[in-house]
Amino acid sequence: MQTFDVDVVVVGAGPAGLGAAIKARESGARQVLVLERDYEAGGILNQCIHNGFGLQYFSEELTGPEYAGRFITGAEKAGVEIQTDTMVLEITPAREVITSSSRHGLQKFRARSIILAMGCRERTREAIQIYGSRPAGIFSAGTAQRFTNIEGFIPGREVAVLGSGDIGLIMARRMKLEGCSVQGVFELLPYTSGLSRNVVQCLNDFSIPLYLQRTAVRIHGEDRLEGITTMQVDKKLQPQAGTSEFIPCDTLLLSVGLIPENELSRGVGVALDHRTGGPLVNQGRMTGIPGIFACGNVVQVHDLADDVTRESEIAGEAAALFAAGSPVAHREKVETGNGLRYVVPQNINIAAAGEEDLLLFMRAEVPRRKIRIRISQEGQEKLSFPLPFIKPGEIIKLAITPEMRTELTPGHNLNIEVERDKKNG
Amino acid sequence: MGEKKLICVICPVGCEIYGTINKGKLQEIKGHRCEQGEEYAREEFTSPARILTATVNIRGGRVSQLPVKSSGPLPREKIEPAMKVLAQVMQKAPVQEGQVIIENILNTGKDLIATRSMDVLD
Repeated sequence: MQTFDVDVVVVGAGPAGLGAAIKARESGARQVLVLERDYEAGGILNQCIHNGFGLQYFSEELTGPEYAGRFITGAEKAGVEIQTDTMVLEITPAREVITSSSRHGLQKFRARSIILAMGCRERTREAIQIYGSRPAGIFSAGTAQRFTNIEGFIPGREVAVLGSGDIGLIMARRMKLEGCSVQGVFELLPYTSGLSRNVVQCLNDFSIPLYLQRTAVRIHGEDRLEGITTMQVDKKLQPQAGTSEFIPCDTLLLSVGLIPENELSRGVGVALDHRTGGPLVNQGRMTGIPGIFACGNVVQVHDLADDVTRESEIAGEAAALFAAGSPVAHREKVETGNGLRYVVPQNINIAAAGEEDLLLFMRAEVPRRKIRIRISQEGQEKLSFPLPFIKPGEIIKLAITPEMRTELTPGHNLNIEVERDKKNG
Repeated sequence: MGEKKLICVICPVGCEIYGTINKGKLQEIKGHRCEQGEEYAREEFTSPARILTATVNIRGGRVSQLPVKSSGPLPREKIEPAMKVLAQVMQKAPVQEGQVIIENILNTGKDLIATRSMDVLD
């Protein structure tokens, strides 16, 4: 096995990996190597042919392939090396990365720092346990997207979509544009988990119905899917007797959530947060193992590629600094309080944040209006951010400026929670 | 006289905006909370337009589909007819990002352009 020494090894050449690699080079890392198992860089963006990317980061509207293209070009210009068709088999705590590829065989890279950027994968029918037979015609929305947009196969003719995540909404429109009939989008919860603009431009534009609090309870068909039984659910998400309706369809697309892909992280012993499904990280996106960093959907499932890019730049810079011998240790924990599913990063260092804003990402448990996000230490309120509304489908970003940080006491953990805004309410 | 309703997508607030239409003319817009919202609603009520993103067949490349987009928003009613036009295309690799695949599609003044480069597979 050939062995190489590299400053920074990045696992995954999607938007997170490319963004982190470019930033690591710009921050002084000498050799930056990105390992990608697909035949080309770009990750899932290559199949996300719709537009809406880059509005925040580039202030212009790009398609997925265009957004990826900018980072592929950027990586070349920055002197980042990308090795495609290469699968990472294992990462060791001594920061060795072992890979396999038909071109290079087994290789070992000894890295000063490693950035995990493996992204996430889709939940499947098995994960949500729908009763019934096992015919052909049931796909995760992303699989159908790859078939349609890259391989050139339409997965079926009469389509139902289960789950109203963004990929589900976008695929409902895509199937309609390709001439399929789309029976509707069925969502278990009383609200959609996708962006409002996708509800408008993917469903309303094409008169595709959205059924809230309604889910698939049975799959029908022997060789090929023939239809699904749907039922209305109550507040406890239990199906209600007498509400069942048969929906004929030969194709069911599932958009029922994404899971950060952390097999490699687990293998090396990185501690994960059960709320995000990703590694516990500090403000530089360093995991619990010194020198191993993580960014993008492997840390938390983002709504926008633009946010992935912002997070990847944080990790890229910190990984380059670590490789150069100046790591930042964390001191304070960030605890997720009432009304929030999670906060990232889970660990910070108030004193070491420098002149930059400390960016906190958090996800609401349920939609609410007229609230404030309260940050307290030792039971005492320190900072408060009033917000007109929050939704689980749209990540909340708070920038803690250096000025705001003077309110915080170093060494004390932070508790972040949602409260009704009495002044506003 | 009719009233139309839409959800604003300019920002995540998602205001419900109402438009009163009399004899095909937009009379009044209510419910917006900002100027961009008013402008968006005016366009949506009178002449809604969308960027079209889709794929065309390509041969000679590594994969069979080339992603494309319209160079600007197309009137919404032209979206489905445009899909029929691009279903007829068989593009040959190589293609450069930004290359025009169909000029002035359906006389809209907008082109259909490639959104990625694709090399010839050797």
